[in-house]
Amino acid sequence: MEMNVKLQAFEGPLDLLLHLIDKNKVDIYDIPIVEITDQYMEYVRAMDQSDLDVMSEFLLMATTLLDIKSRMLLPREEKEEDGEEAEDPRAELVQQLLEYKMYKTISYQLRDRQMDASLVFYKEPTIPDEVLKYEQPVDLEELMGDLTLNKLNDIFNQVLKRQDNRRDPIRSTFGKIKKEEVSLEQKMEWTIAFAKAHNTFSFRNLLEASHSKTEVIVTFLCILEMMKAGQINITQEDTFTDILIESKIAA
Amino acid sequence: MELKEIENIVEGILFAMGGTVEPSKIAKALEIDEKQVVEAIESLKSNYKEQNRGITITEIDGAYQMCTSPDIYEYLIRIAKQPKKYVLTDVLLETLSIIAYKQPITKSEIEKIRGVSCDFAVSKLVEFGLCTELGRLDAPGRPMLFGTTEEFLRSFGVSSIEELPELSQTQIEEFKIEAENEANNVEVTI
Repeated sequence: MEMNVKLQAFEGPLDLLLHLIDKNKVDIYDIPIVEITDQYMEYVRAMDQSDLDVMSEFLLMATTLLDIKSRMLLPREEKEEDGEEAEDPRAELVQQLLEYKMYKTISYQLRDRQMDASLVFYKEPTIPDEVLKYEQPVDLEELMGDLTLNKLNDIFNQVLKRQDNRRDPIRSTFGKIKKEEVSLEQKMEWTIAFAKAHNTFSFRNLLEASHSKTEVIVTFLCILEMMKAGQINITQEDTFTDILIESKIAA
Repeated sequence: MELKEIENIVEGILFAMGGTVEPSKIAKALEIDEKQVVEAIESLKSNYKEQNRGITITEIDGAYQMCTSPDIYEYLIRIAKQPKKYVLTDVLLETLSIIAYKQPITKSEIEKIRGVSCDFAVSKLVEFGLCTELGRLDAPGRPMLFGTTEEFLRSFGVSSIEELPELSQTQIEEFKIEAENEANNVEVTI
């Protein structure tokens, strides 16, 4: 319980970590991670575990520490070939701690400034907003000037004319491009007629008369439709080979 | 127009208008150069200072506002009801300083520095009028960007963001040396 009271003072895992580093009088750039992790875990264990949000933040830091700890314990690989030293697993944490410490220091300086600034009283606006933002109403008489109804009509016609002029005289005569439509019924009739004329034929034969993708699709739908109606039999030897259609409709 | 004359007019305008007044506005009204307005204000300020007057003029984000001199605070609070002062907790102050120095900044960037969720702190700062939403970052999720307000400058007695106290490189070096010295006195085992 004693611990709990003490812990209230920490604003987060970084804060606690900084405290431990200060308390142990160690270099932020060379954190004895094993010791610090052990102490950190001790604090976390003593924490009030009811606040899960706070707890998870501290636990996240604990796992980071444990991760670093385990990596520190592993034998370090000497990378002599590239002459580069393997990166210290603590580097990122150190960077984070330093930045945090920096803002902590700055925030104390800000607090001093706020103390000084609180001795000053500012002159608030005395003139009410509606007076400050007052704008002279528009004089309609003046605005209308010598505008008459006839003039307004002229202007309206001019606007219409301008819109007319804007129209491209050549392009505007072009017809609209219509969406090509292939109706299933029409195609059905045609396919049935085809099936009557031929006893057996391949799907490819059928498509020779098709001119567009839509038409191919509709033709395929016709085949499915006729198959369902039992008007044709379909065989295909292998995937992607030609579909053979046997007509059952008497000519 | 004589400098003295401009000073008098500017003094009256700043008093009557209250709040912050931009020098360009005064210049337009007086049909003079903005430089002359600023010159007159600076001259007024130094007059107030020389004569130890109870009021002064402060600059906030390029605009000017009249305020009391800190020297009269002691007497002023005896007659004026002391305004309620909100005390910024360490959390709020830390969050505020990160926003002030890194603005515009998103919540997740603040959280990365502090290692703790900052929803509460940021919304409190916005509530106090010290911070405000600045729009959204053009990034996945379009996170909200935050920055400080004019009220922030007033509350901390700085005339612009550039005037905020800065940690010098030497200070940062000092941190490092301090820590290293401490480390030398302790046997460090890993």
